[in-house]
Amino acid sequence: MLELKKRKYKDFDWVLLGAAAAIFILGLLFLFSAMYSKNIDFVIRQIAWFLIGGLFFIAIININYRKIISLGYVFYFLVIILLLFVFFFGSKRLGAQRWLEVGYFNLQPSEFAKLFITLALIQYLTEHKVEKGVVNIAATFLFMLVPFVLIFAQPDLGTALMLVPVFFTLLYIWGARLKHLFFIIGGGLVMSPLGWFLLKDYQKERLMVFMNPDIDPLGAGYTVIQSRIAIGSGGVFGKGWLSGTQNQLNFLTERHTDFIFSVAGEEWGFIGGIILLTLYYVLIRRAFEIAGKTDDPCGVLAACGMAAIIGIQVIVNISMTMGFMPVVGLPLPLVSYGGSSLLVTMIALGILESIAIHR
Amino acid sequence: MRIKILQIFFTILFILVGVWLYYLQIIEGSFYSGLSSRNSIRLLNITAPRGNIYDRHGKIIAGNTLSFGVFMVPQEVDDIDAEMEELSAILGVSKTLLERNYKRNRSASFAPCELIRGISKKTAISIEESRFEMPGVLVKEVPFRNYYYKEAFSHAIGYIGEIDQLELELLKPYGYNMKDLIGKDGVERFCDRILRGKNGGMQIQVDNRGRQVKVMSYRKPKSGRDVYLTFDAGLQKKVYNLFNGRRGAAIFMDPWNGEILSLVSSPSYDPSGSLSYAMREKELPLFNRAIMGVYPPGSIFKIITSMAALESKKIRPDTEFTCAGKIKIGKDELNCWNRDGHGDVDLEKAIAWSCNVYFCHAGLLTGPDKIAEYANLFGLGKKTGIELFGESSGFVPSKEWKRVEKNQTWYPGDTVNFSIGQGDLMVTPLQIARVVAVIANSGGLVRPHILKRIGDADAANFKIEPLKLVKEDIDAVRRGMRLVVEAPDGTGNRVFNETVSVSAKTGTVQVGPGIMPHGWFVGFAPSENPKICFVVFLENGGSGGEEPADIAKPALEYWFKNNRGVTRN
Repeated sequence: MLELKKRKYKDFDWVLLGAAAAIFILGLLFLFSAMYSKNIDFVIRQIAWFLIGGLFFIAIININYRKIISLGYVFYFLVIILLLFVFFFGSKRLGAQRWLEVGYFNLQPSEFAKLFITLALIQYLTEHKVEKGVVNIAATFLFMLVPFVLIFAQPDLGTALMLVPVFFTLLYIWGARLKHLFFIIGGGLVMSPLGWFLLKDYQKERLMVFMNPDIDPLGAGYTVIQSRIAIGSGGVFGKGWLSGTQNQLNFLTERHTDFIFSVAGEEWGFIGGIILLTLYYVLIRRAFEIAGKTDDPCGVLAACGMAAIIGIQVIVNISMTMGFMPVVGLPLPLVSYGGSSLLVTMIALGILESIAIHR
Repeated sequence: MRIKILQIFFTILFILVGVWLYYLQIIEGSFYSGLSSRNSIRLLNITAPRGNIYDRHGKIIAGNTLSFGVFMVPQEVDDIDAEMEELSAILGVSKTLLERNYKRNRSASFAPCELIRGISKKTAISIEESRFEMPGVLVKEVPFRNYYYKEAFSHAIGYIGEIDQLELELLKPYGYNMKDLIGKDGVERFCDRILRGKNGGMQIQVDNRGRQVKVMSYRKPKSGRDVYLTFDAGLQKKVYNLFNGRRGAAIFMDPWNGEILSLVSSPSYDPSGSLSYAMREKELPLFNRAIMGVYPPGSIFKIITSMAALESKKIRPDTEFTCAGKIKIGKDELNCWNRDGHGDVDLEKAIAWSCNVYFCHAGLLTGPDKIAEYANLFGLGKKTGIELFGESSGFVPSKEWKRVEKNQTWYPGDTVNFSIGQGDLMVTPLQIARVVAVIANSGGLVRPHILKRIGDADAANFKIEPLKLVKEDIDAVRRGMRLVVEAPDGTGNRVFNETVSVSAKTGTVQVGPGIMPHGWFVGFAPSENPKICFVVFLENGGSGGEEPADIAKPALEYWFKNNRGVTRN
């Protein structure tokens, strides 16, 4: 029995888990520093969410990932229903209707949408692994469209736009012909100016501010300017934990959620930033290695999908805090405060481990 | 294969992010450190105490009294919602008001942010007592502008208020900042840069918790200088009370140098009260009738008509005209107010009785050009230059004006109207004070002013402008004005005073059928060697010799009593 169990877990990826755990612990330190002058309840709640996420993680690694993927459509409809709920009953914060109040918790369905839509796509692509025609691509396109529109309407530009590269990653790994992919990308580029008219005023403002933050230093540009000052002033070694002036003097807004990297950059400097970045890199790389070692196309798609979800959020989030990308609301996985995001990331890690074990 | 390519793609992206991080933190690092350390230097404004405003005897008119205000230091607050709740209960004001003030006044997390001011000492103590339950809440003394005479002085003194956008744009170069209190009208506005002093400030370096580490520099606030006015506060209050809310204006002035002793416009408003309320009032309390209001002078203009006729040698003091109660001019008929007629009248009697027929003859002989010339010479039709805002010029008509502007011919009837101060002629009460002063001081045009001293320095001494009038002519008018009061049947006999002789002229302006006329009562005292000249005007106040005279009399008596040495002669 013990022998069997040992055999079963012999492929468990300890490096992946180790990297994730290290990121989470660093994240708690950043969060504590960001919030200790105000309310450290956030840290406790984050740990509570981590424990809940841990239960999901343990459950998932014991389930064959194929079973999870085969439930993809179910998740898909679940997410559509949740998004519709948000659309009609969601609570508004900061001008966006993104949250669902469920008893004690506030759920953010668009976070779950990232994962569940990806799972549904994987199921579809696995079921159609032989034919790889235009019809299938068109079908996946429609698949994406419904939740995309619902999320876009919230508006949650970040999540909506994040689905796009995930979509391409999966099609690419699935084996879509390059000319088809380029055709879609070309088409998208042609259509994108139309998208401008669909954006809310504050989203347009953010894009304008990205082009030139100085046009509105006290309004939309404020967050980016101050975040940039925080990270830049961190220098090589940082100002030390709990000693970042930008952070502690309240110059950083949203510093416990989307802009937590500015706290890390200010207090831990280039060294800290690079360590964090390296840990993420290790995590993503392990995910690709799991994909590489798997023969099952479903496992390959799933592993690459999870890698893409995490990797894209990391890159976009850090770039936007440094002012190299427009501000779109995407969290830093495992670090930003937020139960929904943390839970989703840990489920994704669980799926990765499940692939490693059950391939 | 595709997995490898994807992995390389992600690797490149990660490297790019790393390079950006390197660029931002290592290459640009010192630039951003500079910006960040500037973020940890705080400027704290220290408001300079505003200068006081005193009257000519050193009685305080406007000054600062200490009052208590409740402040909140954002960084020390635990649960802002609960503390606001508690404060609202103690103070008895709505929580939303406190929250709105907090939002409006909050500047930095370490800077006390004002929630409310002007609370009572008792409330201040009860807040102090529960301070431990409300961390971050503190009670501080805040200067509060106190106007000791309330409504009585508001038109002259004005009031202060927060600087508005337009003022800020204009005054920024002079060191004005947002949220500064600034004089909005009257002396508070005119002397704002003297009164406000110079705000001090502190440059504080704060640590990562916003606590003060050290004071990097400190500039002491420079108190504003005090301003002394020519006013007699007691007289001002007396005159204002005499109006008892009736619409009108009054000016009491030193005829020798133009120092204003009292300048009242009624009704008035509370300078520390709500102005939006005053703005809606039908009786226009914000409107300064003494300098902004323009009215026909009526019979008081006969002073100028007399001077014009005498100076141009068209009449002599003993020239007589016969008043039959009315006179025919062309197709029109002009009535004297006395329908029975005054009989044969000379200049003195004509002034004493305000005989329209006499001045009709005198005016027709003199002609409108000469009358207009003297009206202008006596300062009508132009601003007096007093240190107050919004002064009107009034208007002196002329033949040319009527031809060019109205495209009409000047008729003899116009001349008659002009001579008795009706028609298109418009004056402000302050301009009339100046006219009266010319008679009182025997021929000098003064510049009315209210500033006497700024700190220890005398305000500019305004020169009298000699009008080069013939002394005998002025004496004739003065005799007439003395008779107005002293003749038992003079139009202003009501102000007759046993101890001091008063000279005056009444005016009653018809404003339309069925409407109460405007009343003027102007003059000076004592009749010989005058010390004070006055103008009392009541909108729709009826005959000038009645209600307006009833205001002038007690005011003058008050002033005589307080200025011994003024005796009958």
